[in-house]
This record gives sequence, C-alpha cells and structure tokens, in this order.
Amino acid sequence: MPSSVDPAVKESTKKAGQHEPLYITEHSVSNDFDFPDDFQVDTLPGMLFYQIIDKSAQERHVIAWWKSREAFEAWRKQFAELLGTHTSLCFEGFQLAHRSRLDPVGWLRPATIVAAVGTLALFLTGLSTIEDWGYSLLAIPDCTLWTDPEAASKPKAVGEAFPIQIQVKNRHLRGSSTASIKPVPIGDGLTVTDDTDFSSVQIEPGKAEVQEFRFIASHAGHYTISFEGTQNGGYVMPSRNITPLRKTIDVWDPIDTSPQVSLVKAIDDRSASVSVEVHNAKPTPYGMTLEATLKNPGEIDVMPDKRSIKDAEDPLRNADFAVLRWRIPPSTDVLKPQTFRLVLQETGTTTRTTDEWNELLRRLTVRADEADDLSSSKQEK
Amino acid sequence: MKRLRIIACIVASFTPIYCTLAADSVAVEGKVIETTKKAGIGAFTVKAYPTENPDTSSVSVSRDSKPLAQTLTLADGTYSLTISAGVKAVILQFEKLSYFSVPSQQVVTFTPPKTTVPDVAAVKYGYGQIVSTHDVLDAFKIREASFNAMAANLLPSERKKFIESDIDSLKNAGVDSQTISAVKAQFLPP
Repeated sequence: MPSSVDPAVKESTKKAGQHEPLYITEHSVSNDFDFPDDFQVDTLPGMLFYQIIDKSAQERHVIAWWKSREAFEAWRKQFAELLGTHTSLCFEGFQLAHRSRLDPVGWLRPATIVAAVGTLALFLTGLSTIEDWGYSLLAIPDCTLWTDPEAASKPKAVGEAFPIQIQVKNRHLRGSSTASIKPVPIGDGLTVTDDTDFSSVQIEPGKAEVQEFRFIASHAGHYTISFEGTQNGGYVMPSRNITPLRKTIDVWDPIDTSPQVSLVKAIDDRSASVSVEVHNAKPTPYGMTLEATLKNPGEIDVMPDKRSIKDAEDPLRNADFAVLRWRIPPSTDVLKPQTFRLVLQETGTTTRTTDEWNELLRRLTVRADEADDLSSSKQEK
Repeated sequence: MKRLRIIACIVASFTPIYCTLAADSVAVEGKVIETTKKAGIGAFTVKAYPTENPDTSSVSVSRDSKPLAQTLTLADGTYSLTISAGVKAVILQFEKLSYFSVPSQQVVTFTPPKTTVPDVAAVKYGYGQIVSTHDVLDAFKIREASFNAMAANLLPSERKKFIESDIDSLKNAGVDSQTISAVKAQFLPP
C-alpha cells in the first residue's frame, strides 16, 4: 500500500472539486484491512474516490472523497460497516482548493524579459526614428569652432608647413550637422598648403569632428588666421555662418637676426637691466654672435650681465655708438626663447627714470648671427 | 709778467714729455664705406691684432687672440686706432654683424707717426643669402677709388699687390671662385 495519496488521485480530486469543495473523511482501519474484491466506488452513491494508505506497519488509513458532507452523512453507517469493527473516524472536512502562493517575480522569465525589452526597444526606436526624421528636417545647426590653445600658441618655423587642428563641435543633441570650414589668413606671407583637405565634415549630434589645416609662412612675424565657414542642420533649414574663430600664431625665422629688447627694470637711476630674447627655429651648433648697438650713447656703456652672458668682448664706445658683442654657446633647442640680460650703465652724472630708460631703448638695436666655426667674418651662410 | 714766465716754463717742460709719448705710438686711421650708400658706416668694430710676418698676404687671426687695440667707427665711418710704436705691423679686422667687409682682414705696416689705411667696403647681406658678385665688385671699386685718392701715382706693381691682398682676403672668407674670377678679370688684368 502507498504511504501517501496517489498523485493521480490528488489530481482527480482537484478537478472534481473545482466547482464545489469535496468532503474528505479519513478513517483508521485494521492494519490488514482491504476492500472486498467486488467493491466499487459507486457501491456507495456520493463517494467519489477512495484510497488506502499505510501510515506505518501497524496503522492503515482509508481516505474517502465525497460529493458533499450530506452524502457522507447519508452513507456514513454503511461505510463504517464496510471498514470493519476496528474503524474510527480520524478526520473529516472539506477539501480546500490548494492556492499556490503568488511569486512576485515568477513571471519574470527570460523570454518574457527579452520580449518586453524588445517591445520597448521597438517602441522607442519607432519614436526615435520619427523624432530623428523630424530633426533631420528641422534641426537648427549649432556648431562651434575650437582649437587647443596650447598647441596653437607654440611658435612655428618659417618655411615649414605646420598644422592647426580645428575642432568642430555640434552642440545640437538630436540633429546632425554638416560644416564647411575655411581658414582665411589675415595679412600676407601665410598660405594654406596644397594638401589641405577642405571637404565638409558631418558631425553627429553632441559630437565633435577635427579638421586639420596646414599652413606655411614665408617670413617671421605674428599672423592672424580667421577660421570661418558655414553649417547645415535640417534639410529644410537654410545654412548659417559659423561664428569665426580667430587665432594668432607666432612664426620664427631659422635664426633670429633681430632679437627683441625690452626693459626689465631700472636697477637705479644710473643703470638699467635690459632683456634680449632670441627666437630661433633651428639649432645653432656653433653658437651665436650677438651685437648690441646703442646710438648716441652719451656716457652710457652697454655691459653684459655676467649671470646670463659668459663670453662677452670688451664694451666699446665712441661719440656716436656704444657696442657690446658676445657669443652664446651652441644650442639644440628650437622654437624655445633664449633670454639674455644687458646692463646699460651710465658712467657720467646723468640720472634717468624708468620712462627715460624706455625712451633710450629705442636707440638700442641687437643683431644676431650664427657663429662661424672658424672666424666671425663670413661671406655666406 | 712773472706769472707768464712760470707758465711758459711749465709748457716748455711738458712739451718734450708729450713728444716722447707721441713718438711711442702710431695712429692707424681709415674709413669703412657702405657699398650701397657709398657713405661711411658707423659702429663697425676695428680690431688690431699683432702679426709676426707683415709681408704675408694670407692673414689669419685665431679666435682666441686678444687684439692689441680696438675701436668703433664713428657715424661717418672713420676710425682711429693708436698702436704702440714698437709694433711694426698689425692685422686689422673689421666686424659688424650683417655686413661683409672687403677686405675682412688686412695687414697694415706702420709708417710713423700716422698710417692711413685704404677705405674698407662694407656689403650688407641677409641671413641665408650669398653676397652677390655685383656687390663684391662694387666693394673693389670703392677700394680702387681709395687707392687713387691716397696715392694717385701709385705704381702698378704696388696697386697689384694691394688688390692681390684683397683677393686673398676674399678667398680666406670663402667667397666663391666665380666672384673671385670676376674680380680678377676687372681689377687685376693680366
């Protein structure tokens, strides 16, 4: 005998009790009890199912399912007689439909999730497509130009092509734009190289594209380049001008033959410190020779500041000029300023203010040249 | 009257001293002329270096040599150097950045108490540019005019010697052979 209710019986009772709960009775019987061979369930009208189970080796139960309590009551006596003299009713009651506890995430099966996500994606894509289509027609272009200030501020060499990268940023977050950028050098001497690509660029919403322009300068100096252009957004929107970006660049000669001078400070009313800044775009393997000439010097000598000038000749002065020549050591640095200090020393009694020293600097010129490895006189470079 | 006599005595006593000092030095004078403007150019450094052999046409000065004397040209291009009379000859070297001088160096033998040196021609050039043959020829014209002014009756042999010295100076400075040939053809005819 089984020790529990047969699953097939369970299932049958569940089905039978779907509309109205069945009435269950459980009876203790003798451990050798069994229904007669000719016993059939319809022997007792109202009984639907029955099953004998062994609770233990000495204990056997009969469980019966009735149409209703009334049916059991009507056939209670006959059923008890059938079960024998040792029978007793252990339990009676209605069979309650077993309700499984609701699993809050049980419905979250992978397939369900995939389907839900897919549906959502399709929905959003659809929406996005519709929106994108709208933006592709109506987006107002909103591009800006930018360049790395540090890279742009580095000096360039005369005669050598150099790039300037312009970043075109599309500030519109939904509509893509097309921009066509053109550099306009202001002033003579700066040209765009032939290999520069002027084709327009497409910029995705919120993204940026970099366009590189290459230039070459014919002579040293400060150049201003205005990066200008047009931008297009939606198909039906007219093109607009991009706000121009102006950049000033500094171009250096291979050898700076005319270094700039500036007053550092008036040391006192009879001497002033003057800075000489040399801008070379190529190395000077033999060093350089510099020559500072002061016109109408009066009683002013042009002296070296020993901290920055180590190899100076004796200062010379006559009624018309004061001159100092000095050499600077070889340098492999390129496009980096080299600074030297001169001292203007009044040997007479004249005193000067800072403004007067600055006025005097107009008469001071500095020339520079590559030092020759053999002699300072040369016919050609 | 007594005071005048005292002054006269003082002047008389100083005169020999002054004459002795003057005799102990030699003045070297000359002028540097810019070839384009045909005018004197100032702020040229003129350095006098000692030389052992005044006859040599090939002059060279070591970079580490210290000049005996040096000066600047005045705004009109003139210069004057005072050299000790014990020195028989010097090498004069002319320097100014951005200028090439013809000659860049020359040997000067002293003739006390004053030695006048023929004009030196200064040719301006830019960095990376070669001094043109035309400019060098102009410089030799200035030199020739100076020779003529200094000594109109200069013997052809002496004139040739000066020009040869200048041409050697060009060679030392690395001037190209075509320019030197052009100078020879024009100023040193066979």
